[in-house]
Amino acid sequence: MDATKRDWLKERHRFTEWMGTPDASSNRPLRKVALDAADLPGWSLDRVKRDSLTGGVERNSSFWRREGGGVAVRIDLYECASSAAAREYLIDALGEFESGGMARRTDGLFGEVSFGDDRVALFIRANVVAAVRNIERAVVPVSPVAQAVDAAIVRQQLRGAE
Amino acid sequence: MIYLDTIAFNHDPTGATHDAINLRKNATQWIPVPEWRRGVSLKPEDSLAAYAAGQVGSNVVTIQVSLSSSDPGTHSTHVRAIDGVIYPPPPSGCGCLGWLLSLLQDLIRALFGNLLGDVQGRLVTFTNGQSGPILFNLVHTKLSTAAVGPHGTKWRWQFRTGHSGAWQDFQVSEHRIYALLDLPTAPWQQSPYQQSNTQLPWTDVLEYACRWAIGARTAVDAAAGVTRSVFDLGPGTVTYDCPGGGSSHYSWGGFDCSAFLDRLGGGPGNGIYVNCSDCATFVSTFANAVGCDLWQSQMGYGFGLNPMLGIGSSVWQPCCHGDPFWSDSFSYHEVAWTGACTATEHVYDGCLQVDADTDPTAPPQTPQQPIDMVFGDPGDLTYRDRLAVPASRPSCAPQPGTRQRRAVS
Repeated sequence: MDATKRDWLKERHRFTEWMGTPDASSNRPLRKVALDAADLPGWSLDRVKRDSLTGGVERNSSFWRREGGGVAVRIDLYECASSAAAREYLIDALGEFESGGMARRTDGLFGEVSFGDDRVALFIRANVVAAVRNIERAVVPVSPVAQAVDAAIVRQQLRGAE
Repeated sequence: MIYLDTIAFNHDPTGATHDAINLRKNATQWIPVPEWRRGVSLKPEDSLAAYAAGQVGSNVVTIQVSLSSSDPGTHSTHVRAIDGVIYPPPPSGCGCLGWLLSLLQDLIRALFGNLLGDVQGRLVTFTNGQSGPILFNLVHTKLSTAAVGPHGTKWRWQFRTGHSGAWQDFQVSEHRIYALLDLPTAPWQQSPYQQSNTQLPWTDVLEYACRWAIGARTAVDAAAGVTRSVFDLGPGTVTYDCPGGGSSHYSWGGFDCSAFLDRLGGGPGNGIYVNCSDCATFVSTFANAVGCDLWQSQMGYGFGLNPMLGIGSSVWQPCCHGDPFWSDSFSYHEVAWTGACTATEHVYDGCLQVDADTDPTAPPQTPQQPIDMVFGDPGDLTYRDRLAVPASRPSCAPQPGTRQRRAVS
């Protein structure tokens, strides 16, 4: 990302307030993080794509449909090298939102740091940046989905620690 | 019996001055050369090629053809192909209208003739019934003056023995030919010409890009056609991502062109929502496929908005006005941009229409698609003034450091 834009985003989103990472012992980097159908009850997995982005970020994009309905959400998991790298990548992610009203969430429902509202969620858990977005006209609240995604990441983190 | 076995349009992958350009079909499918094969290429869409008018100029264009003969006594014959539209096979038993047809043929050629004209006759010799690959010159082509577009080419292949015998039809071949202004520019590449290179121009993209820019003879006209066509995708195919804060659905981390093509074809793609980066990427990538030279570049950061028509919307308002997620402002905006992407260069915005009158801050509004519009400085009443409210115009500054051309996947 352009340095001017990065600096502007860091200032606007008060990066210094959330740049610190949790205790390293509870934040081991996850590798090959992914979701499966059991992680999102009530949703069916439509398709998955994996690709590599610049900066060594691995992306897992999954598209989900609500069972019995046409509503769809997209969940992107951006796997970074470390928790600190994920915090930097969250700035990149915020740079993909054109709205001047994108704001930090303080409800603590999901993630270590989170942004958005009930229609789009962007958060960090360990070395993973997650984005949950509506992709069809019929908009569904994404907070429950984001909570389920966060829980799935935590489970994978715990499994990795065993 | 004479057989037409293969036709290669892109027979020289090192250049495009005498033949077709290097292509692939999409991210996963390759276009083998020769593009036309007997028994395999049954429809025009089975035989695809593209020519860059700016490279061909007035050069003689050639195709590479392989023929065979099932008659052991035939060691050589003359072969040619004539325009199958101008010269349809004559109705049997009636030559009475031939004189009239000949009078009309020049006119018909000008209006409806093959982009690639005719295949000039030449002597073909056979060794063990095979000609091997041989070059034929094309004559009466329209490549040097062609406008952008997809064109059908139909050839009636004929042979005759000796110099004065009657020509006899032995094959009809049909092809879909894309006329481009010039070689596609980045992210599209011409080399390395190998299957692993996914940045070779995709015919699946050319199919849309040539239709969107149809009739264009200049880069400005071609980019204008693409820009309008992208905006016109709303609201049926795509619409602005108000609910999601205007995030990038097709251009985050590169251009997911496969998903966009899927969406254009009626599939789900990556969904209905787009933002400015997506639209800038659609415009520049598709315009560059036909020979334009645009970039994706941003302006910003953090500025208030004049009323506009966002893609998919019919209401004049600052983007997503009234939505709590928005504050009548953009954190940034991205467009297709020329040159160094500075204030003096021109923008093409397929994401929104601005108010073209003398006061873009208030009604009445006169919709204008930003096409070849100078970005400008505050007070110029150019793109910047039409997009941003007066107090915010200094914050709506060109950010040429963001200039890029996202790779396609």
